[in-house]
Formats: sequence, structure tokens, C-alpha cells
Amino acid sequence: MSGTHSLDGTKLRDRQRDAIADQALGNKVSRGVDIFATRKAGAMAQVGVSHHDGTVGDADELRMAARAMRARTIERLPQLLEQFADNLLAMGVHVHWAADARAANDAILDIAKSIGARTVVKGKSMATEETALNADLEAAGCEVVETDLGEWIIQLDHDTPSHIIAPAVHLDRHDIKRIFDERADAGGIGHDPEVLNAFARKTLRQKFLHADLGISGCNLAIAETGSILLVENEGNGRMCTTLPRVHVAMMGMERIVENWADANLVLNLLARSGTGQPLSSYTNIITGPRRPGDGDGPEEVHVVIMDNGRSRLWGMPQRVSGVSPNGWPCLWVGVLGAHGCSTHAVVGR
Amino acid sequence: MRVSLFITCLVDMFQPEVGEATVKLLRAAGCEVSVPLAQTCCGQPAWNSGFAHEAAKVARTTLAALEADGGDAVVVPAGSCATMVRVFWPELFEVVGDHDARIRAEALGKRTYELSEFLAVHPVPLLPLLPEAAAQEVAYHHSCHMLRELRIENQPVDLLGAAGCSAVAWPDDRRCCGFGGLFSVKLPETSVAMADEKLDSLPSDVATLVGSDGSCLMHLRSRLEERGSTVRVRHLAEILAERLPPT
Repeated sequence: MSGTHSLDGTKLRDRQRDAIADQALGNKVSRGVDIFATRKAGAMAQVGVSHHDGTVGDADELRMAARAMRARTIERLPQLLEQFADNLLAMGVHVHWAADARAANDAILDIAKSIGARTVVKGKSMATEETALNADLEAAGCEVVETDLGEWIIQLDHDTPSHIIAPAVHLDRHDIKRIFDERADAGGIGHDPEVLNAFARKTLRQKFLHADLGISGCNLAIAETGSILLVENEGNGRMCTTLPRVHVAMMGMERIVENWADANLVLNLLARSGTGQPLSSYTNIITGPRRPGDGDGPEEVHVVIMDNGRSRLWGMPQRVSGVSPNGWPCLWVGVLGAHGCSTHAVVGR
Repeated sequence: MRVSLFITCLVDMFQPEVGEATVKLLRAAGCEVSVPLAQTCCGQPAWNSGFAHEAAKVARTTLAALEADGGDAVVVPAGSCATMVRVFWPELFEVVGDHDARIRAEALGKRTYELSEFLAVHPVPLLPLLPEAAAQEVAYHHSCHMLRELRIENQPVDLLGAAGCSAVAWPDDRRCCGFGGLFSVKLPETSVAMADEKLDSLPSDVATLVGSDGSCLMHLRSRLEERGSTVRVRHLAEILAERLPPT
């Protein structure tokens, strides 16, 4: 975890009771939840499935199609991961198979050491939250900077993300001003969102320019071309993966899709469900390292494919809905907890 | 037509008046009603908690009882239990490796109906409300399983309208009430906060809150009472049965 917010010795029952009682927290979270829910409803209303007879199905049909695709994909997980890795290797990308969190972090620590990395910039990656990579890199002497705005804010505050797509949804602009002043020497900055944003942009820009290593997550891994697909809204993901000389993408092994048609199916739903956008502001597709004549891009690209318990679910009893093991059909859209689930919305109200 | 009534635990134990109203409605729809006594629970609490084998044991008992009754249809006065039979039983039996029970559950599921869904195609004669009663505002709670799994949305609202009580617009009528079965026992603070949030947007002139799931209604009723509200909470079957012509 990027922060020191330990759950050790606490109980979910107590934590939810305390959160429900926190009126201020509730106001912040519910504002975010309501905005997401409204935007999602609008964005989902725009999509559907075209049938052969000319009729059009709704967004739910699209979700079911994506679920079925995921089931089909997961059934062939080993073959698809091999195909993906072969395509990466053919382009000169380094592939690291990591059985668990320790192995994944060690692979990245070795890379950092081999290039003498001092400054590491990170795009948002829940897989590296899972492995608590930042703490390991810092222990190895690296300065690690989260560059997604929400992630940076909570990193400065030694906090942990409250949600995968809205990590700082529990903080408002007054909290953020305080954090910038106290932890980033903002020098009595105002609390207007534009001012706070400008400060973050200016500060982070210097980090991008001087970073030795860029680390990103991976929204989708496309087996047929060996491509890493990253969606984001701030451009920080693109800078993390193009400016430093070396780029490492960390992925959970379930991130795979077979081909671009399948990737397209997920992309049609991902931003619409998660943030209510037809498409995120940036959709980055990384297919191998910089080639001769390329204007930018890293010289060296690594992909860490992490298991960390995922394969234990593989092969569990098939579910009748056509979806493979329990837990795998997740479409990664970040709805659960953000606004698909009213349990999240009531915290503190 | 012969209908086997799957009474469900909550109606059997806590809301017998809903069971009585359901039988009256089914008879008014021209059905012969039987209540197979060997039925127990649908197994949902265990299934939702991840205890598939325990859930299957319970489900097998009720499956066998409903099958043995040999009705043309099974009717359930609860969207949640109807969902369990129709949607989750086949999955449950497959997960525990009981392929035979899965096939049987699928066959039973094809003739299993939630009450309002059944009445929508087997209509009952309903008397219009007296004008003073019709002036009382009614709101309808769309429960999660019925709305999101069975996709039953218009039928209960249309039946309410046919009984002369058109449901008023309620911004959060499709929102979860927070009950969630064992969820309300495990995380009661969140469960209660969800109910309160839903009830916060209930229009102030509503006199009666109607739903099709006794579990949601029990949860909402207790919150309304706690909040000092005078809103009455009633099952759709009770409202409809009161509008049946005298026999």
C-alpha cells in the first residue's frame, strides 16, 4: 500500500459503523457517487448491440456479451498468456512471470537496480497497490512519485486509495489544499480546483522529465499483438510510459483479451460504466519499445505478469451462466463501490 | 389451473396475512391452490453466504416438495425467493455437481412465477377504490431481485393502478432498501443507513408504501417506525385482495 493506513487489528463491522457516523466523509463520498451515477446513466444509454435483423439491444446486452467474452477468454488463459508473451518477446519486450507479490516486486526492484533508477514515476496501478511496491522501491532508495492526481494526493497524505477509479473520493478540495500545503510545500495555496490542479501539474511535470523509470498498470493485454492498453484521463499515464528511458507495466494475469475485437467490447463499456465517459481522455496502446524513427517512447519495456493467487481460482467449478470460475467474470469497470452499489453511497450520510 | 404455492419463510412465519391474501387472489384468478407441506426454505441465506452445499441440501427439499405437488404453476409471493428458484437454483446445483437437480430445477423454474407476474397474465377482477381511499398516495418499492434479476417492473405497478392506487413518483423507488438478507445482520449500520437514505426521498404525502418482497418491507417498516413515521407498509397481495369483489 502507498500509505500507512493499516487494517490490522480492526474489524469491518467497526470500520463501517465509524464511517457511517462520519457525516463529513459521507458528504464527500456521496457527492462523488451521485456525479458518477448520473454520468454513467447518460453514457450507457448511448450504447447497444446491433442484431443481425437490424434491431438494437440495450447496454445490458453489451454487458452480457462482454461477460461471455471474458468466460471464453479465461477458459483459454494459459494459451493466451503464452501467445501474449511470445508476441512481447518478438518485439524485444522483457517478460517477467511472477508467481506472487514478492516475485513481482523483486522483478521490478531488479530492473530499478540494473538501470540505477533514482526517481520512479507511476501511473495508477492497482496491481502495485496489491503488492505494496512503493514501500519496497523506497526501501531500495528510490523516490517514488504517484502521478495520477488522486493517487498523488493520497500518497502525500500517507493514505491508501478509497476506490480503484476515484482514489481520493474521500477528500474534498479543502483537504487537498491542506495536504499540498503541509506535504508538498505549496506555500499557502488557494483551494480553487484550478489552482490546486495547476500546482499538481507544475510539480509533477518536473518529476516526469527527470524520472529514470516509469511504472504503469495495464487495463488490457491484447494477446494477438502483444499490446498493453492503458486508459486514463490526465495524460500522466502517457508521460509515465513515454518519457522515462525504461517502462515497466505490471499486470494481473487476468487482464488478457484475445484480440482487438474483444478489447473493443471492453472499451465500449469501461469508461461508460466507470466514469460515465464514452471513452477516457487518453487511450494508450503500447506495442513494443521505441523503434528507429519513433519520436518518443521508452528504449526498454518490461511486462510483469503476476499470478499472486489468481490461478487458484482457475479451474473452480464452472458457473451455469457460462462464466468460468467465481470472481473471474469481472469487467474491471470500477462500478462496484463507486456508484453501482448503494452501500458505498451511504457511508456517512 | 392448479397452482402450488411456495409460501416462503418470511410469509409463513411473519406475514401469514400475505399468504392468505395470495391464496384469495389465486382463487379469484380461477386457480385451484395447494400448499405442499414438505416445502421449507429456498436456501438463499446459505447460498448468499457462500455455503453452496448447505444451500443445496435445503433447496433439494423444497424442489422435491414443489415437484411432487405436480401443479401447473408454482407461484411465489416474494420476488427474492422466486429469483432463487428460477435464477440461482440451476447455478447452485451445478456448482455442487448435482447435474440431475439442475435439470429438474430448470424445468421447475420454467413454471415458477412471482405473484404479480402471474396475476398479470391470469387477471383477477378488482373493484375500484372509494374516492376518499383513492385520494391517499401510494408509493411502490421495486426490490432488487425482482427488478434486476427477474426484470419484473411494470406488472406490480399496473396491478396497483388497476386497484385504483396509482403509485406516485419516488426518485429512489428502484434503489436497494439495504436489507440484503444476512447483510443486515452482519453490517446493520450500513443496512439501516441505506434504508434511511431510500426513505429520505419518499414524498411526504405518501400514506402507504407497497412492495412485493416481505423481507424489504420488514426492513423498511422497522425504519419507518423508528423514525416516527405514520406511513403504512403493505404487501401488494394485501392491497389487491382487499379490492376483490365479495364472494
